[in-house]
Amino acid sequence: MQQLPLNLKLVQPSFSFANYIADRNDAVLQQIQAILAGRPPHLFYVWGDSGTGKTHLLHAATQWLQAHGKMALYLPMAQLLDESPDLLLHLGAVDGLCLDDIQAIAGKADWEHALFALFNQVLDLQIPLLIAANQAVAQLNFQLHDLVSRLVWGGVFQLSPLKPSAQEELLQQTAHNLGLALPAPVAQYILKHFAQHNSHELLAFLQQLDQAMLVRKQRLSIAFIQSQLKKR
Amino acid sequence: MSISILWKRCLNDLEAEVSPQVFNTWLRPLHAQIDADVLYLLAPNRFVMDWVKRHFAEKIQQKFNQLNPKQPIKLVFQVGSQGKMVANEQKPPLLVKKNASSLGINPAPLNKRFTFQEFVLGDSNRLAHAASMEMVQNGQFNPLFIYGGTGLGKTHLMQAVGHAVAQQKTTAKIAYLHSERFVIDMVRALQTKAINRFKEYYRSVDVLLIDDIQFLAGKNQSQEEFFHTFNALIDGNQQIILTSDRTPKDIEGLDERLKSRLGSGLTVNINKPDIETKVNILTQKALQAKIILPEDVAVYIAENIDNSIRELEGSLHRLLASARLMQESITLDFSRHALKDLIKPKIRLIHVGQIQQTVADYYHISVSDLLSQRRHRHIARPRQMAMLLCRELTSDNYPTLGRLFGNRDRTTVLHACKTIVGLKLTDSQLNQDYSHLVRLLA
Repeated sequence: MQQLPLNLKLVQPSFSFANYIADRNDAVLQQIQAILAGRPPHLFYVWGDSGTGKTHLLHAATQWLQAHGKMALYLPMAQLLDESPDLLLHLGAVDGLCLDDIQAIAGKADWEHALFALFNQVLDLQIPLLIAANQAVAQLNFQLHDLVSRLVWGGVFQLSPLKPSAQEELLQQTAHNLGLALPAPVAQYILKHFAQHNSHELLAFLQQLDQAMLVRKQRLSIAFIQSQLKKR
Repeated sequence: MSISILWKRCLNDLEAEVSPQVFNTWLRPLHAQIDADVLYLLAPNRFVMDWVKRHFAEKIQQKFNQLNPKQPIKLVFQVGSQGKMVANEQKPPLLVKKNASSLGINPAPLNKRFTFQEFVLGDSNRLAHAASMEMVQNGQFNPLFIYGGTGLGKTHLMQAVGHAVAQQKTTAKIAYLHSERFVIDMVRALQTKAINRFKEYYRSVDVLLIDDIQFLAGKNQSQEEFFHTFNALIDGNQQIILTSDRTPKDIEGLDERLKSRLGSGLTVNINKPDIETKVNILTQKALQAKIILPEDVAVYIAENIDNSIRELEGSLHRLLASARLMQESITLDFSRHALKDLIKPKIRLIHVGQIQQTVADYYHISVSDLLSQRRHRHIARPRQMAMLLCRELTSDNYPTLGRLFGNRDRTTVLHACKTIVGLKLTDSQLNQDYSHLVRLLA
């Protein structure tokens, strides 16, 4: 019988600017921080492939605002599709908004109209508004042109995937949070196998390794990694 | 076990069960407060509270029952922060600043930058600008209906009237809002039996500015109320400006009598700006950020961003931010690099022959001079320039280009390209020639 591991993982640190590995995306990070500090424009659209750190940045921005006594809200649009779009009109008093995965509502007329109405309110009040999507605005097939023109108003920024050296830093940081010692040759071996994958997939594999080590009470070695890679 | 420890264990369990995104978004912001056998879970606002209640209330209650079956705990969700509960918070009507009107009527503030002084005039918006000025000075053309594509400056112009009226008469009551806001406020006023106050408010303003009136289409009850408000204001000689993306008669789903009222004053159009106006807009917007934008950069953006002024401004924001963060000066080359994912090179089949002809014409020499063996500088430089342009704008390689330039060796072409790239950094005239030629060939 397989023994299930007791879930005693260390508390995951929250997404913050301090633990964001910017790498080639330093300009994006700095622009977000400038907007949060009140520099116009108050609007920001960032896009990038899965695993480039969009959600991390938006969470970090929300937490930064909250830590500065502001009422900030992070809205993962893909998780809200079962709700009524009217909820966007009843957000209450906020000082900052972060909308993630807005590609989820592209082409959905009622959501597009609700987002348009929200946009107008936010722009009128000059509240920081950060938006993230997996593609550039033009590729998202929004039907409401008035919404599209507003999305690009504050400037459109693209996140680049991490370079191998930064990926190693991310891998080591995550391993450290899991309480896992990752020798450099082992880290490089993993990175070599995940060269064509994004950071999400890389970190998911690390979690898989962590769980498997607990179950099989084995030390982390290249042979062990090879056995786990076969299971993927 | 105390409730406080129970809550911590419950939270730990939930963290292990849900994705970090869900945990960070909805559960981490909750604060627990204990009063006897009641656990108050405080959410930062009603939105988070409602969501957690719908998706997690049952699960949290189950966890508590499992962890401590002998001690029933009552779970209460409230809006508040640590040590501070907001008792019986009313459902907030809209996204509002904390000091917003308590009337439940939410006209938006005017944007400080949307004044006549900051409006960039061009052929595309001259008539709309003149009509707006006339409205301020003589109160003519009531209502003024401004229509045109999205992001062309309609809101700017309408708000400029609001600012100008407010300057003339400091006590003037000016209401600016989007048409959807009018609808939302009205629906809420009906629900809360405050419709009389709603009517009273909108009929008492000196200037009513309603943006994107086309969104009233299909909303019959709101159209009815707006129709009466509209008539009351016109009868009272109060001013109305409306904007839309099309003329009143083209708005489908709008009552015919309302269409006729909307078009009863003056209807003016704003068109897409020409290159010159776009260059002026970019230059002025950059100046607001205390940056002098080089003309060639402004022309480059203006020629390549065609959709709206908002997109033009978006590109400028992106360029200024990149230059500031990378500590670079704004040159044409830097702008091309910084905006490369927004402005894609125009894909166009261009042949070596076309480039040779264009370069020869530009330098007032003949194509045969360009292909000849003459080495005089007034021939050699244009030849080198043409070689570089061919390398950059066509897919031909060095050996092919050598052949097409009078059967020269590939190293000659390579040397020519390096020479011009180097000279562009030191010779401003040559750099300008290069930019002009690229534009001619684009």
